[in-house]
Amino acid sequence: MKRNVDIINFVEEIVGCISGAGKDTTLYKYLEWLNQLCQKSFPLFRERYLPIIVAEKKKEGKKPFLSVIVRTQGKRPETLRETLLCLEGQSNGDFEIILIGHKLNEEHRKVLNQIIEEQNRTFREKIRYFELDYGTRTTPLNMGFSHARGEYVAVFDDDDLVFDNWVDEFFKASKKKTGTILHAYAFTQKWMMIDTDEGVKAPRATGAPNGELYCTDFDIIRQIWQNCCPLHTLAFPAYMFQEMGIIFDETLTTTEDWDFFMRTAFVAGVTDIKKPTCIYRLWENTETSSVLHDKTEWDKNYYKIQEKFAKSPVLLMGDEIQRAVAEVKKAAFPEQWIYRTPRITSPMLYINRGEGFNPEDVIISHNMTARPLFDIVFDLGDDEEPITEIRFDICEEGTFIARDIMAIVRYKDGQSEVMSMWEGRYNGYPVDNQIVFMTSDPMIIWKCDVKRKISGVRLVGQIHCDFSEQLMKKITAQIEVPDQRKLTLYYRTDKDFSEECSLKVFDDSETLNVIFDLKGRKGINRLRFDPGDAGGIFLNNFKVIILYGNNKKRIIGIKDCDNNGVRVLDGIAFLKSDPQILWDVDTKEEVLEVSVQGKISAVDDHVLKMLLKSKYL
Amino acid sequence: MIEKVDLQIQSVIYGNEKKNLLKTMDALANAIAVERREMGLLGNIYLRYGDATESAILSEDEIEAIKEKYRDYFEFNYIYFGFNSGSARGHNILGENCKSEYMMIMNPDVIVSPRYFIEIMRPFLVDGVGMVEARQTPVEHQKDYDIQTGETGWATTACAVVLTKLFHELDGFDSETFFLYCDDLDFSWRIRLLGYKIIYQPLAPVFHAKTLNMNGSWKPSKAERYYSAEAALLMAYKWSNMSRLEILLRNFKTSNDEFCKKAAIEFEKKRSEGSLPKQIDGEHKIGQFLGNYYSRNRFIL
Repeated sequence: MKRNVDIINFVEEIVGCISGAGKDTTLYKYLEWLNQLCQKSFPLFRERYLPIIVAEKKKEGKKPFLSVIVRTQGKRPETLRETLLCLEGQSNGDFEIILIGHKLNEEHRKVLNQIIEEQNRTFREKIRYFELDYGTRTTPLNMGFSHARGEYVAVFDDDDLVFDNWVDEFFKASKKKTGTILHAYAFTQKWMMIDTDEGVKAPRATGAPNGELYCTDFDIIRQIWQNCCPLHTLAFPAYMFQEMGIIFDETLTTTEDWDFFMRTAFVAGVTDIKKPTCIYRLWENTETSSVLHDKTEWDKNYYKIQEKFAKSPVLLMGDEIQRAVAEVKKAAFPEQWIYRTPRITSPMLYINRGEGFNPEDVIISHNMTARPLFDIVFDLGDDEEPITEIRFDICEEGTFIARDIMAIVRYKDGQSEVMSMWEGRYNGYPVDNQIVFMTSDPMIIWKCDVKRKISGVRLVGQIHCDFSEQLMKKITAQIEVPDQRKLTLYYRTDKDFSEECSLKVFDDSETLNVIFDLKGRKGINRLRFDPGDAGGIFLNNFKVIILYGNNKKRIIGIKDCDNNGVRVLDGIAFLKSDPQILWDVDTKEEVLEVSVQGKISAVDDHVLKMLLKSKYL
Repeated sequence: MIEKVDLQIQSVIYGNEKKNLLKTMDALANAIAVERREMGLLGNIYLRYGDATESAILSEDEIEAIKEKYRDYFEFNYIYFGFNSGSARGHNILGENCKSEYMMIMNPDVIVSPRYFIEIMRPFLVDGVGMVEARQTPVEHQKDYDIQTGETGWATTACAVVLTKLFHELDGFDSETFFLYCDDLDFSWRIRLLGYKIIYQPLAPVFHAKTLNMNGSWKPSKAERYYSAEAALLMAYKWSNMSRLEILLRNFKTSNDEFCKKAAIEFEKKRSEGSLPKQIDGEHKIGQFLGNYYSRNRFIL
């Protein structure tokens, strides 16, 4: 877009083409706003920054992908050294550094010159140094953006830390979504400065890197309310500043980055990189902008920015509308639902291409919205192979309730198909329009039309843990315990258990008391007892008595065994099918006989309540 | 006038990219130049690379070009092992005939900061310091250190300098016992058994690329998971902590983690073959086992 084009004329031309559209239409207002946005800071832009931009453009030589603006007052030499070291460690070297010393005194100027001088020659060639002795903390940013020769511009303060992929992830994303603002994830980490014997301060991490705050996608609705993207998580396309004239507001003394980011994001849009590339340091004992400015100043700037946002018509793209809807829906849920709902950290979509599900053929994604809702998009990209079924693994652990789950299958021909959870197969209990998942590996499987090529699958729905008494009764009512149980003892002599090495007894009593004769079966090293094939059973007072060849007996309790159930009270609840209890035996003596004792009952609502209590309370 | 000391820098390389090796060397050369300009403690400097890759990373011509490029900074020496030595054994081979007063052990992907040598050598001015460890960035190591003195329980050898005489006295790393993990921990503790201190130098940052999970935790590879489990058993045994060993063995044997199970099996095999290391520190003067950690930590990664 050329800055000097009269957008208003252009707007009137567009609107004139649409019969009945006038100056009160949303379209007209948006384009008018866009025009004003490009003109608003014009005097300052034209007088101070445009000449620099023009002069930079005349310079010859290869232009880098990224210009990294580092503003410093020279007061934090040790962190500035570390900042430069992190840039030197980048795997992608296609960047320049615009180092701006702002309002330096003689001592700080000397230190800064020393820091530049001590860098290695190849790296030093990337650094372009400028000094500025006027303006607010925002002025160096406008100055830096004017001098930037890169296609993209990022800002890096003199105490920031980045991983080796910081530049490269921006680079890769820029090739996919050219012209948009690029946003990567950041960890927060607590740090402090300590005094050393050498009279110099040194940084010391005091907490672990934490991804909770800033390892999340850009969310335009949330971002209008609060800044959730530290400046060094962003790379701005240079044209926003240099061609459109959108510059930092130099009247702001705090949160100038938030204001600039949103004004550019409203126009360019934001591409999420979805990978952590940097650390945002939370200083515990040093001077930062949060302590240099009082609360009133922060509040004044906050509302000044909010006023600007209120006057901005904002375009929302499809997924942003979905998130906005999710936020509204979330507000309708009781708070305890959100607190107790399991986190969906790495949701997985398994693909069946006709030969069953394969652990290698899986797509991992992430939840785009907040608990208790989920909204996950699995991108199949260039996948051309026919797909017969898809399996959605919600999370690893069970014990939650799912409702309103929909699989939206997007086809490559642009069409999509919405399938409810009731159209799929699942390993939970259907109760009151919900599915209750009690065991690990909860999943829903849907059949697909093999003739159609799938481009992606979006999964939406809700999960919660509001287990009412009534609900638990309904779950236990569904648990069917067979009239007659097949009790099997497997004995292992080699690598694995097999049907050939097993003894079976059929029994229907609640009291378990069976004896397995193992005489003549040499070399047993491990035993496995299966109390039936079906799940939904509770095993209490479990005990095994092993009689060895030397007539010695060994008594084994439940604590000495491995099992695939869940400890509840003094017993084990087996919710899923194929319950197993395993234990080692003394290999020096022959095992003659194994007696298994205990009490078997169906999992009732009391056991279920205890199980949930141990998990959530 | 300061009496100059010689330094051997050594690194075991395995499948590293040439351009990254050169980037590391550029940073070393620059830090050497800064040290010579501002401090002047370092005399002759030798850079020895041991290549444990299946086929050699550097050709003869490339080795000669490196020698020529950095001749004013260090003397470059390249040994192609021809087998996967692992870190401990590789460093033992490289350090076997070292005659310099100091030896620097580093990972090949480390980028030292310009003032690195000035700061890393400074703690040696105090008597009784056996080893000094650099501060890794952007992910700093979590183990605790004394804010006043820098003293710490052990040093990682991602980047550290040690008195060469201690390296020889201890016969280097225990490569018979440790392949990938805990070789530096064991080495540090043995230095402390000799009565020397380990110092952490926060003013000597080095860039060391790391990958963390989205929640900020460390992301180990499959091999790392296995060798980490194996090393935990061997550390407990070697440093005479039999109660911890029994707990680990019990947990590993019943674990759902295949790597833990395998580590327990391999350990029992070594025990039955009599190939476990000689036990030391029976009085527990140095070895510190705090849960799954070997020192107090400021935070957990």
